[in-house]
Amino acid sequence: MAEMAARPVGERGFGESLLWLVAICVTLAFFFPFYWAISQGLRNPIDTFTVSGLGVPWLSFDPTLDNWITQLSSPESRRALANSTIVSVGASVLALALGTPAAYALARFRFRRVPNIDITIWFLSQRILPPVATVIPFYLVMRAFGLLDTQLALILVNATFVLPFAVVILRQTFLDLPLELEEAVLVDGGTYRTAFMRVALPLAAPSIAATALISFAFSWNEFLFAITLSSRDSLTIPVFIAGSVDTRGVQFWFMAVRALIAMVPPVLIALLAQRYIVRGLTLGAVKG
Amino acid sequence: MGATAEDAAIRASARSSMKGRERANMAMFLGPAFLVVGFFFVVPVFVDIAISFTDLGRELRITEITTKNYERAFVSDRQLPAVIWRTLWYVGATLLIFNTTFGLLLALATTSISRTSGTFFRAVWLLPRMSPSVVYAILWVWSVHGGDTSLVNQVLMHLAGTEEPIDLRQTSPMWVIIFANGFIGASFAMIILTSAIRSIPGHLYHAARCDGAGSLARVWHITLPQLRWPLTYIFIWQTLSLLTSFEYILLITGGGPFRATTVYAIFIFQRAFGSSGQYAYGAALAFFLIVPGVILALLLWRISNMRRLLQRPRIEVQ
Repeated sequence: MAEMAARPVGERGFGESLLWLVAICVTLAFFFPFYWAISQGLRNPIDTFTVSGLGVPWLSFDPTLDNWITQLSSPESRRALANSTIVSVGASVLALALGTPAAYALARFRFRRVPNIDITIWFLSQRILPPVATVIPFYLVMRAFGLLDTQLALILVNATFVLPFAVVILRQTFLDLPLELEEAVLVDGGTYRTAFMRVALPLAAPSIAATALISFAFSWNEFLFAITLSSRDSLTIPVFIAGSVDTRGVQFWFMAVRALIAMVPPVLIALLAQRYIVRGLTLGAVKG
Repeated sequence: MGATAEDAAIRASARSSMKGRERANMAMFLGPAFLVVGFFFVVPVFVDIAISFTDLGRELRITEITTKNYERAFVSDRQLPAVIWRTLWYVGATLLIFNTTFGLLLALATTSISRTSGTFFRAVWLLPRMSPSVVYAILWVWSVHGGDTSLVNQVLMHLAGTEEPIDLRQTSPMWVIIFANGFIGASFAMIILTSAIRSIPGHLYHAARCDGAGSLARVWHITLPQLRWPLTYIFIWQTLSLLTSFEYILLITGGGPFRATTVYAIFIFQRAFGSSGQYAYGAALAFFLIVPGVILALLLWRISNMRRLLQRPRIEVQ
């Protein structure tokens, strides 16, 4: 369709090379800090400030995994990692368990009175509420229920945050599935539930997996609610890191490793499920 | 594609004319999600409004129902005008420089180079958005902090020969947070506009070329008009998200130095959860943030026709 690339070869010369050069420079400048964190994390503490230049491992210094071992074996890091994993998996499972049937209903059934589109927008419209405006009521409600500083509170909060994303993405997925297979089930006397469980769910499995991964990543990254709703027992990785900026901020080797540990899961997920994130962004289902 | 499937679904549901069964299905499939979203988002708004008319503070006791929080916001809070002005400045600058202009330039650049490499660059720009905000903020702090080990100072002192280290967080804090938020915002625009540009029919460009239009003329007369709707969408959506932007600022500058970067969302957080713990006043301030959110969302719905977007993707997602 979009045949923008189909141009005479001669015209690609100078202009395109220039664009390439700019694109590469910007990307390098942008990602140097990430590289720097990797380099810092591999150094001995004494090498932190003595290494000059680009700090390439093996060339500028002898890399060591000591920082990684120290970090991964400290009880606080482990607890934060465990909290983050439990909260993110819990939120993701809950959001999918609620969101998948809802998405299916919005793709397949027609409700009288309210058009399906408006129900979908109802789910999406939750995105417009400023988090900083909802955080005070959430804090007070969780406090009233005695859920402050529990993993359950964070699971509930994150599940509702990713639910609109799951509903919108999966509704699109179900709309794209061929209807005939499910109709066959209904004609043979099956119920909608059979059609959903036996036909639609297996066909949508790849999409559901990708949505679950992205929901996991969003919950993993969440910071504002994690920092207000937890104080000690349910600290997640981002809050754990933020807490050590002040005390350990100058100890780059510490922070570099922690930052990288926090970054690896969501970044891997982003690379795996890029298409779905892009779709979520274009449909307004991802916080911009 | 989406539309035909939807039509078929409507036909299918018309065929099974058992209304009671339909209602049962609705309750079973849609009910739980609907209720959860309702509970967790509608209830907080009402709680917020309710609290804003009380004197709820750190000790969690309500002694009176009052409008003094609103009086305070409108009349006696002397910091508020400066905070609002600062917020508008920050939102405007980030929006115009990064979220639209820079994003558009990036999109034009990535669609001009070959498709595979364009997709690669898009993925690269997606990474900071998908990293935890804390990590992104820490990388910024490392890059701009005032010591001579920061990235900026290393470059300046070694490559440019500057004598003294500079501290951008002290000298130009607002620009630091504009850049930090802008890079993430630009990636949003780039991703949406890249998809939009790729779905512009190629024959428009061929026709323009036949008429002798140069590459700038083609961008100006074909690409930009075709991007009117995605740009409107980006503009409104990003205004909304910048108005409420919070995390990067809190983590990079903490609203400082001397409130130089205390924008509205930070101000609410400081008032509500800071040393004073004035939940009620924070809730009143937060209410004023909900109002523009709702207005902008309605605007987005009207102008850009969100229903059509969801019915059939206008932007082909690649």
